Amino acid sequence: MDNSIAYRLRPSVSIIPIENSFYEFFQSNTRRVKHLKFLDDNLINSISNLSGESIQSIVRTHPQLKNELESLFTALYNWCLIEDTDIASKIESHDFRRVLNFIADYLPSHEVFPAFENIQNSTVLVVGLGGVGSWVASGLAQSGVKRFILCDSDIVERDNLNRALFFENDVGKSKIDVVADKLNSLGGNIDVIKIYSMLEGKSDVVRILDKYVNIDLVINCADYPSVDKTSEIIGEACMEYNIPHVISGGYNLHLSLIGPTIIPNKTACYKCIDMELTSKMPDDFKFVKKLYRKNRNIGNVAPLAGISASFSINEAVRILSDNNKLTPQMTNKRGEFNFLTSQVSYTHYEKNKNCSWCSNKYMPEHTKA
Amino acid sequence: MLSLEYKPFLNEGVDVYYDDNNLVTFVFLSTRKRIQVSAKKHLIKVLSYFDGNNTVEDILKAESVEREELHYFIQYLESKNILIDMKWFLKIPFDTNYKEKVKKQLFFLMDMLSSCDDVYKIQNKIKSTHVAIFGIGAVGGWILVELVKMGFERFKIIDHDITRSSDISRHTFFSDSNVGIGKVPAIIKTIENIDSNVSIEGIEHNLTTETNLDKLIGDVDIIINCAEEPYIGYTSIYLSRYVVKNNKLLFVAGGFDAHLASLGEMIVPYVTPCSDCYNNYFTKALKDWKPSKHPVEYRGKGMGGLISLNIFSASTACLSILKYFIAPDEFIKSANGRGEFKFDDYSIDSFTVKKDPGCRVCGNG
Repeated sequence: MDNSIAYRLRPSVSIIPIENSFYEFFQSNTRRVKHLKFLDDNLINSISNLSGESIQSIVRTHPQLKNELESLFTALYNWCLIEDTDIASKIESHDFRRVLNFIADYLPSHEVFPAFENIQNSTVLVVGLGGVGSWVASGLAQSGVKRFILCDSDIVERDNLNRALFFENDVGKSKIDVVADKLNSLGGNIDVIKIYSMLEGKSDVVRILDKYVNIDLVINCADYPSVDKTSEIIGEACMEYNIPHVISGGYNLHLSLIGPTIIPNKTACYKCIDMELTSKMPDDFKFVKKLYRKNRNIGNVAPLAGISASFSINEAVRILSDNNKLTPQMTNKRGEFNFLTSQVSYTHYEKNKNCSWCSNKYMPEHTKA
Repeated sequence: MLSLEYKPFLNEGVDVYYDDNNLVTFVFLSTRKRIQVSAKKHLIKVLSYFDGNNTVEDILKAESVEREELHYFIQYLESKNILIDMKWFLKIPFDTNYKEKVKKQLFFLMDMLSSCDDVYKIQNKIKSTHVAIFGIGAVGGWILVELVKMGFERFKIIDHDITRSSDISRHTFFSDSNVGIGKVPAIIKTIENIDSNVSIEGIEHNLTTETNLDKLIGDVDIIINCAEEPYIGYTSIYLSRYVVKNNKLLFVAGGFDAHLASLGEMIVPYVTPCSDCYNNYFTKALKDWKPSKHPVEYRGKGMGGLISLNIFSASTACLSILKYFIAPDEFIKSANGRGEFKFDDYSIDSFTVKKDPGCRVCGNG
């Protein structure tokens, strides 16, 4: 650690004296808490008053504490409780300062801009621009992502207006065009590649992944013909091309389903989870058949679409930051948001040794552009 | 006995599973309610005819089933709302434009309520309710969008701030061309473009404890507080005392400081805790939790946030309002407390807060 760098207590961090020389450090952005015991009042005072001092300048007043100060500052810096004031002032004048300050709850100052640049320089493929996908695309642009590939063949119909980002005067336009206009209206030169088609089989997905080699993340928000079908074809293709993918939920037959996030060869893939679901099914359920009905109208409401979109954006921000301190939380699990109780519950899954998608195929590491 | 022309129609929000042991399971998608019955094989077979196109006569001709047992089977399924009136949607008397816009929500409500009359009653209440939103930024703006989508049409929005370039990471209405313009006029301009039936009265005003609420609020039915300045705790208490006195609804939304992804709280006078009850509770609970004075004087620009958390807070707020409209009594039973969604591991921390019987505003104190 450079003793001449000026640090400050992060504005979003509060220090609360507890008892017996224990102090709580509360990160208000994320509500994370750390309890620390200070044996010397000079040490806690130097942190409680830290607003641009360097270790060097504090050591001048407390030369006997040099070693303690050095290790204390190193620890607090790595725990994201204090920050480099030069970097902090660059963050404060940045349009995306809220995003930068938020990820700074996880990343020490010098890692914040590199992680944000990873987010900005990523290319995200969003498949399906309905109630969830349309919000995911705009939410990611508003989190810093600048390159999108959007895939959808639909035009906006009136019955989309109750949840997707489309409004009355968008009816009749193509969904992609409306979402692209929204992204462009944000300013900041967002690139949008438009694919006006529906993905019907794995080969359709492969064609896109072959053509656009820089895709860092695929988010599946498509529910036609079914979420299971789109997740399967996107999942299998992404496994072959070693591309992280997020299965978004929140539509039709999976009203409030969340995740999973799949990091190929590292976490359970869609097939692993499907195999586990089948094997865990009670014996008497394995023979259960579902009555087939075509053209069903199934209800949905805006807030449930919003909640699903929120989870997918969280996951995307984590993955795209490409920093091991900010890893996705929906790997090896699926969640369900309960409309009635507003509680969320998770089911855990493991990578399956016998999975044909995971084990046998190995493609060279997908590299970032 | 059933008319031969009757066309049984399976509720579209119900999944039907069956196995070889003649067990049929009906799953209501919106509520996950399950009904399981044992049925004879030939009756299970009949289920696939219940698509609203086949008459009882068609079914009797095609399958070897007795008219009487079909009658009882249908009657049972109707009593459980598994079979419903196919024409329920057509019978709802909204104009076509409105009905098509909120179609998926009407289907959702039908799943929950299983009664065409109730669906109409609730959606009509949504349509005519007058909503005021204080603070139309990170969370307030999203709440407005979702409420418009849910079919609310009458709004009053109150904010005094202008749009800044850094709002790109939080406002749903953010557009490059609105930078420097007041949030209220910018939003009204946008909404007028996007939904011609929505009426919004904009008031550029900074809510303080000096604000004359009688005049400002008028015939508003529900107030949503997203005004984080000067401090949402104070403005909420001020608004809460007003709603308790005037018997209106208040929703205190999250989205600020340590409550970036808070689920928010609905205040129903004399029924749920009011903001004073919450304040009394947290003052006691946090009496030993006193942050030291922060060394950085201007902390505002050092605060973080993600748009996904704004969307989460706004969505849970709208969900609470919808649940209250659907079933106020059911909702109130579960409305005692506060929830905080944690980005760290996606869990929700819940705190139970009960109505304070000694509350000087809504209790006997």
